[in-house]
Amino acid sequence: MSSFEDRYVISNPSLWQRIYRDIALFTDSLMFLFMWLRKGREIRLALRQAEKENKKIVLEEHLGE
Amino acid sequence: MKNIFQSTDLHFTYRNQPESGNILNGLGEEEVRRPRQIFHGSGFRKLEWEKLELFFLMTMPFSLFIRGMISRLQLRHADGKIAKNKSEINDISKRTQELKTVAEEIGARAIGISKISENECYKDYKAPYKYAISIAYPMQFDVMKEHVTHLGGGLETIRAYTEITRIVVELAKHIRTLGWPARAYCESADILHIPLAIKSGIGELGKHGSIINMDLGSDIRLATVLTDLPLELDEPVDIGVEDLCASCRRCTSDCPVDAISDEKQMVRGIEKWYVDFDKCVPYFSKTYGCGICIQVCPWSKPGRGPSLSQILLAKR
Repeated sequence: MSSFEDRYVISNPSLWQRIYRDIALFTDSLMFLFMWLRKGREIRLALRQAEKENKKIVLEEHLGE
Repeated sequence: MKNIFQSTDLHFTYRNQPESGNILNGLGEEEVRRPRQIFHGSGFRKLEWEKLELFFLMTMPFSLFIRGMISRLQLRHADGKIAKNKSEINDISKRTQELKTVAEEIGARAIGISKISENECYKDYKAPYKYAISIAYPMQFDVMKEHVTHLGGGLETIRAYTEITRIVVELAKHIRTLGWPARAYCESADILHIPLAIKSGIGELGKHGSIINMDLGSDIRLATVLTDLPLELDEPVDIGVEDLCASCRRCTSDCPVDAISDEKQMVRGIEKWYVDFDKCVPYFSKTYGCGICIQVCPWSKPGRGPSLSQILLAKR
């Protein structure tokens, strides 16, 4: 596990480092967007239902233990 | 229209609550130590309160989520190519002034310079360069007044972050064209923006745990550029924040979850204003980043800061 800076911020990068960095960042961003669409939708729907019924959703049930 | 804050009812919970954020943050600890990230991380790390942050991100409307992602993408240019010919530094004072002028032209509204020490970095992070250029950028007072805790408040916050990210990325790039290394930091970075901004004279720490700038108030966002370009250092300022916060109860009484204390507390060996993490962050996660305390702060009303400071300092 590494920070955004460790993964994508490069001092004095070569052209290839920049290309590799951009591909990695855009791929990770697309995966995160996909997570928002899929997992996020599940959580948003569950939350809306919980609000209607005055209940609580459990974070671990949606985001893993 | 007067904004009505969102209710404090929370419809989410942990099955197994992580260790208290206050303990993790070092509340009550007498020894000085560096903090570590526990909620907002800068990307892909396991943090104690990570699930709540993921919940915060996953329940955002698309308009907010996508803007946040775009803002983040700009940071891939936080560092980069350094020009081969290093410009000579004959007059550090003149060079510092020129750099501040460039920062203002790019859009910075308050600029301060300090030297970064390890106490201004999160645990295990080593700053790559010596000097820190702290930048402040304001949010729109009227927008926040009407929309704080609602989607409009979140959108305004992310607009300010996108703008200040652009400013620090451009400023770092400018320094690199002079032949000196520079790296931009914004949002949840590995360095601590607030202590650096205080050290560089951008403002003072308020009771609500955020910085207060004399002209811009506390409804601001911070970012930092680290560089090895030799610069003249600024000094911390005394604008009277301590005097006001000691008697003002605006943020403590308006905080719907009572997260702000009227007393300073010992945190990692330093007595300072501290916001209760366990009370603040769940409500923050529900309300697109909340922001009530910095919005209602008397300093945040446009144009009020300088006269307020003058009155407070004259009373001493």
